[in-house]
Amino acid sequence: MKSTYILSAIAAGLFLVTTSGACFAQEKAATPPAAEAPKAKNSETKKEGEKKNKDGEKKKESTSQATIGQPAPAFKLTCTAGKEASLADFKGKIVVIEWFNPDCPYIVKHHKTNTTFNDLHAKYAGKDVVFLAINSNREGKQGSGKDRNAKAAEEFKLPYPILMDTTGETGKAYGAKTTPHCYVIDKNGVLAYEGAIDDDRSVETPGKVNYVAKAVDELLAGTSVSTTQTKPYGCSVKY
Amino acid sequence: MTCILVASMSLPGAALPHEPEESGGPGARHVTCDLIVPSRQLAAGSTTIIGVRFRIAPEWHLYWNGQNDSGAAPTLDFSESDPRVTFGPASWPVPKRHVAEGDIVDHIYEGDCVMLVPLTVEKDVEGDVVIKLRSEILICREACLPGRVGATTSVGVAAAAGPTSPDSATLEKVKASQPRATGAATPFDARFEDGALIVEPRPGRRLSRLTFMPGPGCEAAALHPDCESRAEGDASPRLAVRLRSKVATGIVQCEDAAGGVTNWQVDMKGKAEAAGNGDSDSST
Repeated sequence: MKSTYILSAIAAGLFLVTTSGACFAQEKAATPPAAEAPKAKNSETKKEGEKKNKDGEKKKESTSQATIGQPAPAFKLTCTAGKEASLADFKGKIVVIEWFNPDCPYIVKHHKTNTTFNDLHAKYAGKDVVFLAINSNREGKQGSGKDRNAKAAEEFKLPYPILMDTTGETGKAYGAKTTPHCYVIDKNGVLAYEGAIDDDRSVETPGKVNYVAKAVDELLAGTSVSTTQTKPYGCSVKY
Repeated sequence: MTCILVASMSLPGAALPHEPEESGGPGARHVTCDLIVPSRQLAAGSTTIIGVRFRIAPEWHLYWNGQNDSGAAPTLDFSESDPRVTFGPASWPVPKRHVAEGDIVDHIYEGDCVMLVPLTVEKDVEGDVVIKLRSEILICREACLPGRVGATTSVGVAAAAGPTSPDSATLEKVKASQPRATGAATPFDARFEDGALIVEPRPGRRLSRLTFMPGPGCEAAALHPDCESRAEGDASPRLAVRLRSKVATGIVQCEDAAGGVTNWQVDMKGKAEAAGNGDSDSST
């Protein structure tokens, strides 16, 4: 009887480890975090900074710290299964980030009407490419909340984790404006692409050119990314 | 609805009511659309300005067809109209600049908004022509909902135009609110240099605010903070809008010290130098 309890406890423990770690079972790398990336959590920059432009005029500064060719802003967020993850966990891999809101028609377009992101994830399976969804919508706003997103992950058969950016700090650090707004980070943690998923801005039809795939293909081929920025489209992030 | 269509067609130039079957999707519950014609009888071979009016439910908004950080402008599709009429590019009304948390800037319409569309009737047309609009929309409050709306009307065509309809006053009011062409009365100077649109008050003109709304085909590197400047103390507002496009096309909105607002159409070409090398389509 005692051994049964012990086995049950071990089994329960394994289940908890498996489920809480399910978000990142295959994505995490063992390499140490990058020290040079700007931090999104506990934001060290002012919300509304000021700088002078070349004409000496004071101008309000954007809150975004994400710059192509520079280290991507660091973050540490919790996925819907409750496990924490930071960008540094994935150093040595290409990271694709999709800003996410399960109730946005454009997210529905790419996750339900079409399977754009799932197809991309499948295309790069086994190629050291990590996919993450980040939801920066404030609690109480459309598409927010761990439960709603966990349900959406099931509904969309999402093969990668949804990280909950409940303060919106990570979203603002990246300058994420739409869902989806996509970012591709290279193996060294440097931002290589930001913008739209593809070239069709309609609410139903997927594009002919997938900018994220193009950027990832180029990174995997060891060449520089030819299109580093496009104009994102979608619903606004509900900070 | 077929009966209504037949009945209306039998009365030259009689307006067809809004056809509910042309609407669909969750967004259609919050906006309707109708067509405004200045006369129930148009002259064959002439070009007339008609209006596409969206009536938007309180708290909801539609998007401008210039640059926005999010959302999508309604489409205007007249392809199912009588083949003997053709349509020119629409003039969209001046939108409202809306800034949400996260520096998300959109140009939006609330309440009623009317797009002006040139309609040309072929020569030698007699009788009625049907004008049919279909529009794909994205309407947003906090959440965004897609949908489609449409409207159909029938107008008579004869050798000479008929008397103006009561709706013509609405069209004239909308025309008067369009952005003005720049000229001697313009209170600012604008130039396109080093990949940026520079806008500053003309000497002697005191302005409290300058706002640039990039139009279709024009893309600012950042709608915030570049596209709006307010006077601070004795310092006049001044815009230095970094552009990703090679054209600086859009609306400059000026507010004077007394709160009076004027809107001006700018259309300049230059060499863009701002960052970005991808798709610069800003048509949504």
